[in-house]
Amino acid sequence: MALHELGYRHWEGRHRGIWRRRWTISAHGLKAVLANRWMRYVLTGAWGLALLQAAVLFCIGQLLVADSLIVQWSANLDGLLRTFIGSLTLWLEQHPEISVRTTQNLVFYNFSLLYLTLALLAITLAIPHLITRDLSSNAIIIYASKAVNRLDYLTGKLGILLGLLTLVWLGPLLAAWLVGNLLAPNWHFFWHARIPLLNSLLFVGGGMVFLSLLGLAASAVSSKEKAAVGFWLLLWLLGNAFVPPGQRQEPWLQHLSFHHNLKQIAEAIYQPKTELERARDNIPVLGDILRRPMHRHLRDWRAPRTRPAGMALGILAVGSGIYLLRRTRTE
Amino acid sequence: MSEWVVETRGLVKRYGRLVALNGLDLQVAPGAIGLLGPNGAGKSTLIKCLLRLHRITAGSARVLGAEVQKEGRNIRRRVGYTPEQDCHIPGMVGSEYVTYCAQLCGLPFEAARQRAHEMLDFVGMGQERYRRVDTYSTGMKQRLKLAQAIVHDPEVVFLDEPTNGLDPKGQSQMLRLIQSLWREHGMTVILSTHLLHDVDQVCDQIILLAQGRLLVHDSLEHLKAQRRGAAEVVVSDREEEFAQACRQQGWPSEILSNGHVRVEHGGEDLAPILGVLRQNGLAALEIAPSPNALEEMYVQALETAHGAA
Amino acid sequence: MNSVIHAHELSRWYGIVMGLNHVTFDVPAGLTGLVGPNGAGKSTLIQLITGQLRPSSGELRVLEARPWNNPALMARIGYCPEGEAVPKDLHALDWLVALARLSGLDAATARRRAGEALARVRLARSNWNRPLAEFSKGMRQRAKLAQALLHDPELLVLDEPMNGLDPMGRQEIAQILRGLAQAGKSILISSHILAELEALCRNFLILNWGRVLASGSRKEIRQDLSQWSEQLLIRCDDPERLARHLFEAGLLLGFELRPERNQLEIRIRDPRSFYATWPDHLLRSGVAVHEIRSESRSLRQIFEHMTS
Repeated sequence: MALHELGYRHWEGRHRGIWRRRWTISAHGLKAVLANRWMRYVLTGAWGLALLQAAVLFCIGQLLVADSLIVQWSANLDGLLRTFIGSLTLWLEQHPEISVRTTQNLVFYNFSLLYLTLALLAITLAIPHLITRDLSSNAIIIYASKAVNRLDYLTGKLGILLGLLTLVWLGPLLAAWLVGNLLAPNWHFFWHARIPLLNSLLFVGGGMVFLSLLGLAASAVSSKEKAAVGFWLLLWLLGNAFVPPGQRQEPWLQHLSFHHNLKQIAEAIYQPKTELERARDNIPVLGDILRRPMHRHLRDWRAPRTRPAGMALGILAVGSGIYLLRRTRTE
Repeated sequence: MSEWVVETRGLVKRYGRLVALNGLDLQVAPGAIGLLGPNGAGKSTLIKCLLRLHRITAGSARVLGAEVQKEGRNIRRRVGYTPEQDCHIPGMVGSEYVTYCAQLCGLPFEAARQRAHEMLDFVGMGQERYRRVDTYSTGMKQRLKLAQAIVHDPEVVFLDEPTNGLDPKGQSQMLRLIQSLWREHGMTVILSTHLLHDVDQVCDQIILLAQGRLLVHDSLEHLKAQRRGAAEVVVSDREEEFAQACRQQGWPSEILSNGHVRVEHGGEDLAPILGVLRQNGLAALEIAPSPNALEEMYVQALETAHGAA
Repeated sequence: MNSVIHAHELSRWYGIVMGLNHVTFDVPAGLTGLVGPNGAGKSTLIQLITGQLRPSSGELRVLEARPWNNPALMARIGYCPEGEAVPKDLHALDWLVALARLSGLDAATARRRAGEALARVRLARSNWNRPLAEFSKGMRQRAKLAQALLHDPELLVLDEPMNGLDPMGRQEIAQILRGLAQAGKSILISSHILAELEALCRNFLILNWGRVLASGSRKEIRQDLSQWSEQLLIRCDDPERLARHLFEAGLLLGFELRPERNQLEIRIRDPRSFYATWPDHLLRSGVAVHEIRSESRSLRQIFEHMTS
């Protein structure tokens, strides 16, 4: 045959399942979101932070072991301090359930909140690419005319943010945990660091789902990019502005800030106050030294308002979900 | 499996107090179907209900034998749609966009990519496929819309005003593509449009809606056969003479504003007209039997419906 | 010469951008269709004719007068622009009366003229005192047309008058236009829907890239395209028998049979002698003929042939 038919051809093949189609939406969206230059800076920041966290974990690990580098280095110091460090590490080494767990819990608590700020920045950058542009170019109707429905569409879009937050929040945190404990003086660290890990998974996992819903809803607010991003920033920063007056007089005001609510939940999960108290009460010598300066601090430390914070977040999440379903209707 | 591509029973769609579809009963066989009706007759609503983009208020609808209310997603895998309004998924180049659309219908990436390029070839899009969709002209957007609607090789494709905004050349290219979908590739085409000439050229069945009700569902051939006996003749010159000769035969004749002569000769075929032409030594360039059959049917059906209402 | 619009070496430039380039044509009285792809220069030509633009060079005469800066001529031209530029909250009659007053008529005459114009576009009297916002697209389009008819012009220039209308609305506008043409008005219509123009107009003006490709009736234009061989499509009961008959008579260059659709496509050797004897041959073949269509004579085909 010299001339070949180049017209329309029918296709016969197996169709992919619905999860593959949802994944297609997520993967495409994630690619678009990561193409942004500023997003790369945020990612670099997140992984830089992970490196820092691993370094901190490494240093602490060294402090807790008798034959570690720091202890060997302290051997060159004068007698009293050397004795002090020596006895402290000896005690700490004998009580890893306190030393490793407490220190790592505190480190993960603080770092989780640092990553959270980066995650919020990342969401800010991602918002135009989520639903906003789809609204402005009538893309919803194209999606709706394909073999995906509204829930599939939203699941796919949610996947974009979950993927993004994994890259700037959960990923670095897990990596730091892994690297930090790999570099630790012995393998017991992995076992004793399980509580901080579980706490982190709980907080970060929940936070990611919540923020994904909220970010997605914010991007569905308007078909104009500036309006959607503006709304998100307003929700985030203006909400935070309510926190100081809320702490002084009207306590409910502070729950207008989802960022603050998340911090409260983090506190409820990691319980940094309890950890500090345990350290103070159990560690010999050092605990006594720290008792006085920590006393005021711990006394003024208010317990997290877990229930109202959780309720506020729950209301926001459910509201976001309902709003998203309404905004992406094709009718 | 049913033999009908689309089957509705008592289909009702209300938006608040507005009744868009009012108890529609339809059984549509495969083919090229022209969906006609005045503005607000329910054409777009019907398509959207069949795709389950809009929820049905009452009654039932089946597409390709599957219940629309239950299997919207599976139906859409086998059906394509070009919406009337300007729409696309932003931030992609043309080929990427069509590939993505195929993937959304469940095609694996390799097949999707291949078919996307084949469809872009089919709709006649060249290197523009590597440009961002946001920069496309109206003509290219319409082509892209068609490409994304057929990329997953659907069995039925719904086209809502696909020639809108195209210039004459774009229109005829688009119509030729649409025509080939059914005639050459066996894909059922449901074409919603205001342009009766487009329907005349492309379709073999007509569905006429008005105020959410079905007025006419018939084959074009049958409609035309009903209106035999009238013809429009283009004579090379001496129109007046020809019209006069026809009047002498007792046939009502008039010269139209475009210079064609309309004759109601009452015959089964064109023999009577040919006879007059031969007798008078006239030459006819074209003889179209009942050229406005569709238009007349349309107007008549709507007027009857209006009178009844 | 009874041409309504006459252009001689007419050009219009916008800086370096070409609007219309060195065109010469005549538009006779009656209905004329203005055809061209996007950017062909249709809008430029319409604006030149309605005096909104000044020619860069060349001569343009409309009703024997130069349109630029010529209010006396404008009183004889009615113009209906594209789009839906009507004040939504005004009543149809009030709008027209106001327009008539603006052009200098006294109140009584303005009222009479407005009523006449609305009657002419067959807008039912019950709608005259309704706001334009409540009108359907078709009614609004007719109100716009009435606005152009207000001062009883000799020439009407209509830019896409049927855009967005449903078939009923198109039919109504077409009927009104036919009526106006019969009443002696000249009408220039631009449209993208060639089949519609073909059903309405005897003469055409085909533009492309700022030049006039052709002007005149389809027959005249087709005659000048003599290089392009003519094809006819015949729908009949027995295409094979008819083909044999015509071929033996030596009339055909070639033919193609499409028995499944009862069609026969023929290519003609010599159009002049062919058409002279052609009814006779058809009758003598004894085959019942239902339709004779000349694809190569349709405005669409002519247009595509010329712009490709």
